[in-house]
Amino acid sequence: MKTTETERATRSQGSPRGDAGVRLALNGTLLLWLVVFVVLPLGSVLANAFWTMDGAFVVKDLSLTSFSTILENPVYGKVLLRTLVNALLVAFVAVALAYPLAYLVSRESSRIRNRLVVLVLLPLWMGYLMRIFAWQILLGRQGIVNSVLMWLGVTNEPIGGLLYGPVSVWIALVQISIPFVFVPIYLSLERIPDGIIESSRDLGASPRKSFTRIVLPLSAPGIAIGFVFAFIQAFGDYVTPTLLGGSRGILIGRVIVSQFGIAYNPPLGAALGLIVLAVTVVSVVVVLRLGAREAVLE
Amino acid sequence: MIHRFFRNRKLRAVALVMAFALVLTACSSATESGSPESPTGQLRLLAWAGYDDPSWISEFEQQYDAEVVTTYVGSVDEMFAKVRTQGENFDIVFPDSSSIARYVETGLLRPLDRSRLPNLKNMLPFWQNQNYYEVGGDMYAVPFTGGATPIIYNATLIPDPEASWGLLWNKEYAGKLGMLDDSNNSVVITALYLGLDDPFNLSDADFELVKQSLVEQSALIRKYITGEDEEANLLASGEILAAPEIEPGIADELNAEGGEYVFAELFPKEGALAWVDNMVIPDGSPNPDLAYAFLNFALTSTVQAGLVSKYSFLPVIDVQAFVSDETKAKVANLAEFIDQLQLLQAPEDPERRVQIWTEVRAGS
Repeated sequence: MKTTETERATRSQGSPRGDAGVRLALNGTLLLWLVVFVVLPLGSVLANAFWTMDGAFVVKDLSLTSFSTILENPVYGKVLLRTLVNALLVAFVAVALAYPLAYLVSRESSRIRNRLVVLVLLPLWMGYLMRIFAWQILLGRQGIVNSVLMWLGVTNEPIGGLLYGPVSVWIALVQISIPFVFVPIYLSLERIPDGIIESSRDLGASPRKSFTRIVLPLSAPGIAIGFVFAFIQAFGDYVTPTLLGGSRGILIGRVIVSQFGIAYNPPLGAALGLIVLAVTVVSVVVVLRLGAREAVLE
Repeated sequence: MIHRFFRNRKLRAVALVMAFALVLTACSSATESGSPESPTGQLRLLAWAGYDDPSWISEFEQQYDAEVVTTYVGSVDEMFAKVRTQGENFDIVFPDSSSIARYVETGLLRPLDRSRLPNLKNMLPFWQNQNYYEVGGDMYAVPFTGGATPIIYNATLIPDPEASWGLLWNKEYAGKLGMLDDSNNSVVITALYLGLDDPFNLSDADFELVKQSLVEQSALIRKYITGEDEEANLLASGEILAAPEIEPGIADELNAEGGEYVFAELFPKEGALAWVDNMVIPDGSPNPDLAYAFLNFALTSTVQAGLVSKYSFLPVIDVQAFVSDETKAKVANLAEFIDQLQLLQAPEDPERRVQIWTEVRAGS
């Protein structure tokens, strides 16, 4: 023991230059990573958002044209608001479904627990598009859900509204988010020692009270993070609404995409993207703060 | 211009690999161009995958002892950008009819000498009578091939529909219709349906009418279509009964699969949409003599019959004598409706069209 400690001490003291070199290399790598994957893409969006178009060409002069277009035309605000409501709804439902699941799993013995976690994460092994196509097959007029409903006599005609409308988009987005919501909630619940819950019961708290006063507040950070994951996913996704959505009620992702086809208006697309980013950042900060405050035991 | 993104996907994957290999060889080979009478050397194409099909390119290479090198593009914008920044690397480019004006205005093309294009006389009258390829009295482009966008419909459940875009506004089929998820094509189709004078130059009043009509239609639409496979699935599963056919040949494919329903195409009396790709010579072309040779070669049955047989595209010359019996029927059908084709042109204000489309899709 003693030798290893001295060795360690001499090593760290002995070659300060080597350490500095390693640190420099590590920091350099980190910096490079940040520049390539964060600074450059965001910088490009930021720059584009403040450029403008002249015919088919992007003019690289500072301009607020794109933002005034967005403000002047109510359709962008409307779509943005709808996307926001949609994402909040998906996040709430995903948390509401994932929480009981995470709670039940976290109270199992560790052997069973780990197997159950793998089961919950299983959908992640399947491609994202595959899951969307699966929903098309399940929810279509001739799909399994409609066949079962008709066989049960619940309905005589296939229900068209299941697919290609808000319902199918919600179902798919919730299903896609559940593993991401489950994991942080599960981790926060798993960390609560059984002893604390038992103590509260010993001190006379009802099961309900011990849940609302002990378990729920302690798992709040997990809920907040899970909520944020689901919200970001639902707010930015455009593939799911495009493939499963109906004829009305497009979301902001689709509007952004359409600025890059025949319209070829990258500045407007970038400006919309920037607004989406801003809304997301604000929502994330608010939700995470709420979660952190709740986590403090009263 | 949705068809660009969905054409020949398998080919394109192969094409990417080939393009990379070809770029390497292109860098090394010397340029040699022969004389105007007997051109030879290297011909560089900037094209969509499939336009340099080996079945006709190898024949051209043998005939002129030439080497054809193709660079592939994936979008209209990419093609334009490449010609603008490196036009001197290409001898022939294949822009669509609606882009010609943009290329000419930017000064990227050299005017064509009709006297060096004897095969222009092979073109069907419909193509000879077009004027989109002429700007300021000069000819800049030769039509290569095209494709129509008729209505594809479920002939089992809609036995005998009227030949009109009105089918896609028919309340009887509410919730069972499809439309293209693309601002320009949808606006043009609506303008044709409404019988507006010029679907590519809409007035403010026209725009209002088109928008109203699209909003009305959206209540009847099951799904706005983004791709060929999606459309085929929606039709085969009976989710939709009719929609504009996003790519030529979907009806044939579905019928060949032999599913529950039979599908047919219908050319609306108000005019069916058609895209056309052309051949142009960039101003900086290193080997214009060989380019002229290719322009003439492309207007022969070798190339044109191949385009119809392989891809169900529109031929620009009469190919009836050179195709299989099966293809003959298809060509005859296309020939019958050729005068109803409305070639895509540059829209007056693409941004405004996207704006209207966004408003329609945003709903209320």
